[in-house]
Amino acid sequence: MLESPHSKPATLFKVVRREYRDSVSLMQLSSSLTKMAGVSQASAVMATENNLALLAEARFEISGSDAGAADLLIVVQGDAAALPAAIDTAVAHLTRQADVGSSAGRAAVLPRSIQSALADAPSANLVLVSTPGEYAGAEAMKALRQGLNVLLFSDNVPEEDEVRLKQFAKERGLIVMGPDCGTAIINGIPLCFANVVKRGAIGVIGASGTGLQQITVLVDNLGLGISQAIGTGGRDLHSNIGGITFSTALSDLTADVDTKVIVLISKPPAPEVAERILSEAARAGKPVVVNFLGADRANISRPGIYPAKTLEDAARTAVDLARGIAPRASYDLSLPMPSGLPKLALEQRYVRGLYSGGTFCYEAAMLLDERLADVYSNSPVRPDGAMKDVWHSHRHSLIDLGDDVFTRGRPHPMIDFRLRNERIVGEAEDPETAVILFDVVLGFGSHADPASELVPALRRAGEAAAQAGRSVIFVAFVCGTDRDPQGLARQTQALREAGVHLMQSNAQAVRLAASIVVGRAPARARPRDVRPVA
Amino acid sequence: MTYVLSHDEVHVSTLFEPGHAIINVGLSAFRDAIAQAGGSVVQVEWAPPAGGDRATGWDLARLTGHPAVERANAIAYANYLAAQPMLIDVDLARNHIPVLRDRVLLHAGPPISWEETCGPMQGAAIGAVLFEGWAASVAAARKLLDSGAIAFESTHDHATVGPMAGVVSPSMPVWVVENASAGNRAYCTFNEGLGKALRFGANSTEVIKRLQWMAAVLAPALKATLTKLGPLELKPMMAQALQMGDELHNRNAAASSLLLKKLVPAALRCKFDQTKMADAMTAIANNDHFFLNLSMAACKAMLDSAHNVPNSSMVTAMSRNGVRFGIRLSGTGARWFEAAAPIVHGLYFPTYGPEHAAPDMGDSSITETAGLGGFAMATAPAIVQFVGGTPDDAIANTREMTHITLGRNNAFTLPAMNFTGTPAGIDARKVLDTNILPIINTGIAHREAGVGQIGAGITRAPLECFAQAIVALASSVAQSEAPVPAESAA
Amino acid sequence: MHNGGVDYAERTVMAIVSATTVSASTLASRAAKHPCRVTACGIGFLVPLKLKNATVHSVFARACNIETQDGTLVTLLDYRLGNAPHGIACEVPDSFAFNSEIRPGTKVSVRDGELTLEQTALVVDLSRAVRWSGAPSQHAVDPTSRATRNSLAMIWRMLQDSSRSRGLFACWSLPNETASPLHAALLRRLAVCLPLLARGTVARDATTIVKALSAMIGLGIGLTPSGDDFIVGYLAALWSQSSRDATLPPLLGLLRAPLESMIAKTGAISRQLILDASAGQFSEPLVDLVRAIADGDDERVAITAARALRIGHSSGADALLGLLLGNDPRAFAASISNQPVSNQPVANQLESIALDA
Repeated sequence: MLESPHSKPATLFKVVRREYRDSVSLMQLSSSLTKMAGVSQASAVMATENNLALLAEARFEISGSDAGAADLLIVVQGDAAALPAAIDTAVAHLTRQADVGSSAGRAAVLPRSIQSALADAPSANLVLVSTPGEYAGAEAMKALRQGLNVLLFSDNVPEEDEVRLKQFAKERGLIVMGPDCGTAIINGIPLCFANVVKRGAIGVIGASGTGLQQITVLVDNLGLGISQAIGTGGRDLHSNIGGITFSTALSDLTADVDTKVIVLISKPPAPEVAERILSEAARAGKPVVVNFLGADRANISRPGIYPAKTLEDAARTAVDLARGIAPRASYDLSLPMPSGLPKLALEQRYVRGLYSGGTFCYEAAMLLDERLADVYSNSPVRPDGAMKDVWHSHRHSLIDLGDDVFTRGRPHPMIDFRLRNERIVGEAEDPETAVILFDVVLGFGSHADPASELVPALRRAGEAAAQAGRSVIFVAFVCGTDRDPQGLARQTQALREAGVHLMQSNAQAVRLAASIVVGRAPARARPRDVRPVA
Repeated sequence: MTYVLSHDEVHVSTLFEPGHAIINVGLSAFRDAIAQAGGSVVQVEWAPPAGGDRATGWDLARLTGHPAVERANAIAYANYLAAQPMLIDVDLARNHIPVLRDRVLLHAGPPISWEETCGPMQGAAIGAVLFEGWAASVAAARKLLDSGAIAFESTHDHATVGPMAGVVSPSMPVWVVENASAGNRAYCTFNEGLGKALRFGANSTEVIKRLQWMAAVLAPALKATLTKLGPLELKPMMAQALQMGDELHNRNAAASSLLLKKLVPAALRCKFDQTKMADAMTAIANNDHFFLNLSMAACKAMLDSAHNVPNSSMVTAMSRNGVRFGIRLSGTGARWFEAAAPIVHGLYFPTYGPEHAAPDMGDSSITETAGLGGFAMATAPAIVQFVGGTPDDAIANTREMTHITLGRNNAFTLPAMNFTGTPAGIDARKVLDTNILPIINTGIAHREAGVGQIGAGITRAPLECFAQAIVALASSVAQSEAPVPAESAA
Repeated sequence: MHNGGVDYAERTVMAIVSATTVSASTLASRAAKHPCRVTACGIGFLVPLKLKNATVHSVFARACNIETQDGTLVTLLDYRLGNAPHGIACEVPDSFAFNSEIRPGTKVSVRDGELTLEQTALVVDLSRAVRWSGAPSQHAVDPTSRATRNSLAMIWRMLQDSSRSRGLFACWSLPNETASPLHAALLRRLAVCLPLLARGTVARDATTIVKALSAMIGLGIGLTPSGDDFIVGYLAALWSQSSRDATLPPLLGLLRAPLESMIAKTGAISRQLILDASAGQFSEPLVDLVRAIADGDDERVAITAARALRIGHSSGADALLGLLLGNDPRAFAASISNQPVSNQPVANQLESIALDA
């Protein structure tokens, strides 16, 4: 195995105390370790003074070991990512009683509990739980009790369980991501619903999955990468949970040398929690970009903290900071109206947003509400903006189709397009619809080819409007990268060919939609700060 | 860079260290995505633990990795491993089991009232009353038992075990096994052989006469032989029988032969009626199951030495009284956790079927509790077919049991599995967490008294017992933790 | 070392061993009795008469080390591995594995000529065992004789045979793709210590020898690191000439104390081997080889050296390398400096180090 000439290979070692194995099996151990992918050198030697000196001379980094001559020292060198698995193999080689060889061909019993999985992979440090919510808390507790971090994808975990899990984790230096954590990227591995993005210097902590997806995708599209992306679950910054996971993640990213800029995203937290998180963030010693969707940025601003209005602003601010450029106060780009927009009929006055991502819908409601009156949503920014009947649009309607009302008994709209497709056609048939606004989310976990589902529906919607002598304008954005399994380029091409006006971000798509209808529909009387619904 | 393998201590977050494996519990699509992205991932074949009972699931979660339980299990398991069962004597039950000085009968399994008992057990009890001479006829014996004049107690409460009905009466001879490491003793009656037998509920004259012969001839003959031979260490003999194809529950042919080899030279040197001694040795030679009862007593002695370690989740008894299946944990003392005894799925002798079967019965599952029987199935290909399976199934069964046990007993090694030890020391937490139920090799009794064995097969201990046990243990562990820690406060 | 999975199929028959042939089935029948008895056929010269508070230290398929109160290790051995100074050679059947029966920490007691391993079925009957001495000094080797030179040259060729080249000697011949920086570091060190040891041995200079040996103790791969096996082989060579060469007994006397303090730098099993070696006691395969060399019997040298080579993974090869150096340091230095280094980067690094005798 050749090493890269420029990067110093990583070293990992493990001291096995008073474990006497005969020389032949030690030799077999060394040679099987050396054959593992990503391992350039391996050695299993007694930790004598002379051997320690020899290892140091061969530039194995083994300082801090307290191994003595009676101990066996296993050292592996190579690709950092491959080493813990190599050590696992070695330890398994030494400790597991080799009954497998006697019955080759017979499948071993697969692990049925976290504990037995841990016996198979002792290096594991994270358990991803996606069981039904009523059982998820207990599984998470078992993981924590065995010293493992937890990502709780499951929703419907009672809040009191969340409190007890997070407090337990905190006492033991562990983290609980979630519950209802839809997205995380840990060490470049996308977990649950996540996009394939470059690794880099920007660490993200987010209460919402789609928010994390938007930030990580935009950072990637802007040419930089993500160090870690940590989902906290939507309730973490509620006052009774008190932001335990945010706080742990913040200190982990603060300590992480690969993270140069930190981004925090959430709906506005409980004020006392916000205050504590922000003061912790201010002490991070690295720039922290904060996007508390809809919160007053003046309350957030303090030295070292960069408030951002939208997810896109947060991504751009972080990218500028990571590049050493002074970030702008706002990235509200004045975009030219695209050419070739069809002429709308007089009564076509409203934007109809059909979202699969909840945070996108909320951000859209916030941005649209700034410019237009009569904005309604099932994810409203103001109490009087709540939709009375989510099944029927009224004026400007922004619908989060991931809401429980729609997902009961069927898969999430990122996977199952039937409901949204019906609704797209339905909105096109409504003579008041001017713009149909929607999101397309790529990445692991999402539908394998969203465009193939959407395009026929968009065509039917266009035909329905045409039959009534109208045209509807489709405005959308794709949250994804070229390395996502669905391929950004393929998806955008198919959607463009179907006549969709594609923007780079949710914020841009919402602004375009607003620009199309502004003047046709009543504008908000005067711009005002949006008071969020707590 | 250091590497922390032990998960029991607070440590600096390793979350951002590259290369650690991820355990995926739930949607397998997430496992695939992690693997596709180059991560190392282990999928848990998950099903709702504790049969889906949420509260019990939380009790289990609280006990998982609990330091007090881990410590207790280490002690209990070490005691079990250290046990050295020795056959020290053969004697009448009343001379060793204090409760049998009175008119008392012991029965297999968790305590049960006379009224509740099943047909075979009633038949056996009636037979024992006749054998003791407490009544002269079956009708009189039944009347006496119905009157409540004869106490009916669980064998396990008196360091005793018995196969099937497990009825022990004061004048029956018993094996006296002493655990040299802890000094505790365990008792078991003699094996009567196949066919009409008291343990299956038969109580005909022929059966009673056989019992009388065992008390009058076999027991004294064995006692004399043992006096000559001296204490007999049972573990090495059992270990050797495992190498010879016994699993020491449904197959005891090798162990019975080994025992006979031990006995005969000493028997020949005894000053004992030669004809009677010859009859005794012939009876042993003709009974391939003769060692079973000794194996059971040895297992009971080993497990009793692991019993009563506070907070331990190790199972120290599994037994059935023909109506209910019960288990005991080391950490919850004399309490039984019970569920309806299952009907055994297995192979029936010609003309019989499940409709004829009595529910699972007997203390012989003490062998599985001690890591033998179904747990050592891999070593006994000869009986695998008998209970309807292949040698591969047998190895798979044994391997499956490693997921619910505290360790492997290296005193009992299995040639078919590279001489690794049998999985032993059932951890109730693991049973509940994996939904893997302890496997038991067992005989099937006819549900009517006295018909006898009608088949053999495999059964599983009911999950419900383990669920109850965990709830009880969780509450006793919580009580033992004086100041309530944060996580159990909610 | 005696811990490898080595089978001495063509073991020369020794009177005390050949008396009984034990098969697996006879053991099985023994196990049927209470308890399982194994007969010891040989007891090493240095095995203490009483084992106080002894426990099992480590256990392998064919050997089981017992640690006594004062830290001495006594080894129960499959008799096929041969006797050892602190060994008890046991007549165990072919398929017997100590580690299937015994765990570290098991208590051991000796009473009435029986060694009992508590909580196991194993009892070793010591009453029929013969005391065995592993002193090569009775078989004086004359390093200047032609026969000895031939023997040593033959051993050298056997070590060079790449198919079984192992241990320290293998450092020279590792191809480019397998030689790691670790091997390079090991070779650089050997390139310094071996010539130093050769010089010290020629000059009978205890200080130089101790300097070289202390750089080798605990060095290299294996449960008993290569350097330790080398030291044992080296000492065997010195002891084997000691009854003929008057300069050696005082030298060996001078080495003893430094060796005793040096052993703190290696593991317990090596420690016992080096202690035994400094007292002039060696394992049977090594003694057999030395005796064959002393007798000038080519054929027996070939057989016994081949057998010694099969000890452990590399232990035998390393001991033979030590034996070669100890027997004829000048020839050794010349041969080793002519030994081509197949790994080019390592060879380049070595150029800066003078390989002189």
